[in-house]
Amino acid sequence: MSEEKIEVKETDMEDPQRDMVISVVREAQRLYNIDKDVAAFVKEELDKKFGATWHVICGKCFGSRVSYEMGHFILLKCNKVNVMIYKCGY
Amino acid sequence: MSNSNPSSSPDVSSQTSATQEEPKVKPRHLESRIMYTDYDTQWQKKITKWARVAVQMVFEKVVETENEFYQEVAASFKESLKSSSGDEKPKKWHVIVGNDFSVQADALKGTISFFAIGDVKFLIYTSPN
Repeated sequence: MSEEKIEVKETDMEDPQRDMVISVVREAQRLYNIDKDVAAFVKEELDKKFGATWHVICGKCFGSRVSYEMGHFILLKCNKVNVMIYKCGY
Repeated sequence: MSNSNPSSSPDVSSQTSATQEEPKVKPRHLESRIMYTDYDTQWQKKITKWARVAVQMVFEKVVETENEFYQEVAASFKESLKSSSGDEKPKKWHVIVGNDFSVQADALKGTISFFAIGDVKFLIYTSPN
């Protein structure tokens, strides 16, 4: 089974964390079909691995203006679905 | 001998026309719907007004894609939220705008609002500093 292509559209993460985040997203895409389930899985995993609190937005069509910690933002595109992930708050 | 002239009255016709005023209906793309809010009525009205203004402003601009439209709306709307803080400690607002998105996040208690202006959905909340 071929892996879904994940494109990094924007990020300020360092490579190790970025790679870990991508692997979590890939796992979520493999396990779930519904965006809200993907978002829930990714958030839970990242809170465990990197500490609270992560925000995850999944969807085909949205824009945003958010506050986030430097070095903790990434915007991915996977099969027409955008996945925006960032850390903010305790 | 008497001379009498028959009296004649002019034929007077009148014409009246009535014009109907068109009902003042708000454009559908600017109608608001509140799905969920933690805010009181007064504050939610302000939020909705700022969102409507943001949508109107961006409609008048030339944007190439739908995502770009939502991005511009979010930026404009967030500026309104930030400017409303006044002397208060700046809040970390999170603004998501679109018609297809799901969110998993932690928000401060009492700061969530989810509403729509036409087909454009807005989710806003703040997080701890």
